[in-house]
Amino acid sequence: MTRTHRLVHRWLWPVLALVVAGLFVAALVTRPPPEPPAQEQKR
Amino acid sequence: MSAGFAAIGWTRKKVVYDLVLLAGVILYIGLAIALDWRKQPPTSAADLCGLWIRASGACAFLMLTLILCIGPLARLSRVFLPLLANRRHFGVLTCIVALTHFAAVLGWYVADGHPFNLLFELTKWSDYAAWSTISFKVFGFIALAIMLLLAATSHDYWLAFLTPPVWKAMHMLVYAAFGLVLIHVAKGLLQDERDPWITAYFAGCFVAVAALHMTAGWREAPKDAGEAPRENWIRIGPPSSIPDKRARIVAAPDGERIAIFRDGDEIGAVTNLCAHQNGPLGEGRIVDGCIVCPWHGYEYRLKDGCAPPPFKERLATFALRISDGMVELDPRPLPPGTPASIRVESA
Repeated sequence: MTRTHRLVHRWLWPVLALVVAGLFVAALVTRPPPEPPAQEQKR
Repeated sequence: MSAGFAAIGWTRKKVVYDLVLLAGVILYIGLAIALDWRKQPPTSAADLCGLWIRASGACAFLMLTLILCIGPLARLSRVFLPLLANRRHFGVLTCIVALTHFAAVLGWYVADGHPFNLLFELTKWSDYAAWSTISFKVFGFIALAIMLLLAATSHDYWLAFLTPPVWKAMHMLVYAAFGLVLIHVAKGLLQDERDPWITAYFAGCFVAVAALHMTAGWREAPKDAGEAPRENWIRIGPPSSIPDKRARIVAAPDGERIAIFRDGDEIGAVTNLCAHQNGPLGEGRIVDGCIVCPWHGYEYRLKDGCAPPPFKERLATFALRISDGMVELDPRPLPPGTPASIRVESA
């Protein structure tokens, strides 16, 4: 790899990791609450 | 180096590599479908598509994770170099698996009786107003488009046509594709799937890839600092400080790396960038008087940086001299193919 590629690579990954981690957490935080378990049918 | 088309030069190693990959994919998808089938047997054509969607999606994600680990692992240890040589085949197969995932999604819509709903979902512009309403399929679709572009341009024809620096920069888009796939999973599968182990698996794959890339990248940073030349010459050291059949790598300040090889009593300096894919030549070795690139085995003569006939690649060489028993290097590149190696009395 050229010097420029290595430089870009060194800065790209920390930025990418932060952005993706933020969006990943945001996707989990904003997910709808789980559906309540189906109630047992009354006999 | 011409940009003429030449078909893939199959070797026994490449065939074995590809067969192992193919067997792994068939085994993984087969096993995933069997387990899913056992858990919830399909009752319709849409269910069958769902089985393939989950199995192929999981397989493509794992393949992408493994591919992205190969590069930094090879930087950290030479043990992983054989995996790097045919990495492009791995990438193309991953793209094919991802395409079957997309085809199964289309099949699911057709089986569900709404063949155009995917297009409607992706073009419902009001959904893009808020993060929570953006469809997870958009992220997967963009990632697939990137993977298709990279697979289509993976052949050496495109590498030569675009030139290695441009090709390499373009293929760094695979990092973005990996991030998009992870968001695709988080906004898709993980919206309903609440098992923390599954969430940890996907997050762990990304953390592992990011950590490997950052470790490999930052570990090499000091090597790029470079050495200041004195009156245009960089002092390397005595000839014996260069290991026989191997190289020492130096860099001029703000310059590219230079590989100084020794083959017995002959010392030569060439750019550290292989003409093929800008691989790190200085981490290669000398075999029969030729420098061999550790990535794909491209060869160059030590004396002038030219590939042996019939090949035509040429490397920039650098002037060397012996001063007070020390090897010294002029970091200004000579035109590619210029004979510049020197002989030393004893190393």
